[in-house]
Amino acid sequence: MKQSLIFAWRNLWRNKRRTIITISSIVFAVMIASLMRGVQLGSYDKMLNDAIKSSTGHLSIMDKDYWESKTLINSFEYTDELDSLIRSDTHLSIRAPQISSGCLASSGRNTRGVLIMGVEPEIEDQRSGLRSKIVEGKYLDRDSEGVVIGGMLAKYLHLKVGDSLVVLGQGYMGMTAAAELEVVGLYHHPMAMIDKRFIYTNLNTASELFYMDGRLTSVDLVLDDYHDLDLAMTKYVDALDTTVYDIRSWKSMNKVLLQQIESDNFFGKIIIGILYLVIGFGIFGTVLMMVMERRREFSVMMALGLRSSKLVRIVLAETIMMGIIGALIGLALSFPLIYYFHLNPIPLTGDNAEIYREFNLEPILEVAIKPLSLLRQFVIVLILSIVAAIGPVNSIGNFNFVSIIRGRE
Amino acid sequence: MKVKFALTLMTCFMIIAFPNIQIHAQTAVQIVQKSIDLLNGKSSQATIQMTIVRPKYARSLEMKTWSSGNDYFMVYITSPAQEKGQVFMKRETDMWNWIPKISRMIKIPPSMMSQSWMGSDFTNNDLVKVNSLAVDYTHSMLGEEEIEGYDCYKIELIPTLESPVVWGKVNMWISKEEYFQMRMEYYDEDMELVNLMEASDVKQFGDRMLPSKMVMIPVKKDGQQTMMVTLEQSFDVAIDSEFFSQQNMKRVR
Repeated sequence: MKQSLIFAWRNLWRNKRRTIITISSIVFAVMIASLMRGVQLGSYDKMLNDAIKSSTGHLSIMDKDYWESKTLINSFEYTDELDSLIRSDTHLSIRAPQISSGCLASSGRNTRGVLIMGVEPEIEDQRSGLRSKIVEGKYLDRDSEGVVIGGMLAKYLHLKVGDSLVVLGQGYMGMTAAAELEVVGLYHHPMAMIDKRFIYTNLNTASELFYMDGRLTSVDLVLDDYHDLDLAMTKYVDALDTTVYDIRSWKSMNKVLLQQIESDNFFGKIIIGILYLVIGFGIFGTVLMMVMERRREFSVMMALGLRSSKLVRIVLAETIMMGIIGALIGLALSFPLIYYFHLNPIPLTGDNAEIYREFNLEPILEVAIKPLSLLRQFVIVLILSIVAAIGPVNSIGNFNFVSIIRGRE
Repeated sequence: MKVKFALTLMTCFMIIAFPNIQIHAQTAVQIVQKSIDLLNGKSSQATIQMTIVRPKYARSLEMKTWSSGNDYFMVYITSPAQEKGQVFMKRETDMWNWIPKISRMIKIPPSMMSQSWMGSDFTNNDLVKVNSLAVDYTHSMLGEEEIEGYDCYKIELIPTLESPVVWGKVNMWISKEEYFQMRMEYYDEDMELVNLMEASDVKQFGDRMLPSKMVMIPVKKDGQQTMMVTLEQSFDVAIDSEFFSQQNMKRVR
């Protein structure tokens, strides 16, 4: 066995050019595949993290009818009991009480449908970094009655910082909710939806506007470590009356997103599959060529008494070695690349950025480091090189070495 | 001789068949029109309490109303405190809403006319199109039934082709002698019952008797209804059409 390996290793470097060409094609394939997967998985991670952190939380407590019909009638009373339950939970990094409801916002002759988000300013900043997105004016504070709105909405309504905005909608129990609110700041949010439609205000202001009187539409909870999700779920389901409350996990709140990711992932896998197919045929071609080129050599060795099965083993070892070397170099080269892009996400500009915004995504390509996915590339390439080699290598056994040596074939 | 006989037969047939239909058709419209006139009078002033019942809550509103003919109408909300001061006005086919809290006069756009009024089971259209039941439909007499102890005509209303009506048909029960609208059924285009209105508690208001309680029940929505109870109403009060102006909306109390 050891002897065959040594033979194989020496054989590889007898014809360096052939070996290097084969190896470099494998290196290239591994790099492309791992970078492509990295970008893909990275964008999924980003989408989910954004959704969890800034809009749904890992867990959300709401009225049992709220998810089906998001109206203020399906809000719930935020009792002291519930408050202390949430406050005593040390596994949470964010506890965000919220009132959100659709409304009409108007200024002058322009009116637009908007979503009023009543939030705790500090907590919202923790969640979505809203404070750092303020481009004009100032951020909300606990006591002010003002609102911050997106730059696109401000443009549409012709509003500047310091102007007032009229909101009109339905409050709790269908009461007329109307108020004139001062715009204290404008933010620029990378997601078009938020920039065009969201109005952030203090929880108290929203509560007064909609006559909520201590009621909330949801409390979103973000965990320190998402592995605790099941634990936290059971904890809240046990502690709270589920005929009144609904405790939702991020999976059920982001179903559409998860489905989109799943279908996108499916196509991603197909493309990677095609890439591997191309590489597979490449390996097949070089091995076939090698076997044909070395027919005389093999025949002489067989004539000297080397058993064909041993010869097959040697040639197979050669291709496996090339596979391993290629895959290792590929991984070694792509890892720093992935790591670099992981630390420095690729910002998109121009039309591409606009497309991302339209889909309510931040126009940034993030690359994920997934050791498992990298390992998978390695194994797949290895298996490919073995499978591709089987056919050509097997034909060695069928050589008629006598006629090959005599030059008749 | 034969011709004369045939003519007589035809006349007889016409007397028997057509007059009946014609008289019924005419009277059906007239009955509906009379019932509308009875409700509105030339002009009126009223205090009304509206109770909105929903599965999760019930709330009451009180309001003052003024009307002149079928075209002018004004509502001033007096309670609860959160809604107090809101005014709705209708002039012909237009409707405005004055919200004192934000000092804004809002013209209700056509797209919102079929939406709920103040979160109740009545739509803006129900308030605006007072005379619609008489003019937008073809009326036919279906028969007679007793509702709440009143002998009523049962009249079927099918909207005419060009009328802007959301219903597939409406059935009305109007009391024979008094012309009270005792019961109404609103059907959608698939002829499924959507809304049911029932009137009761006949009382004396000024110069006339009227059912004081109207309940609107959206039959497909469980646990929902809206009750309108007339507390006071006087008819043929002196209001000129200038009362129904945007300026006055900001002034009325």
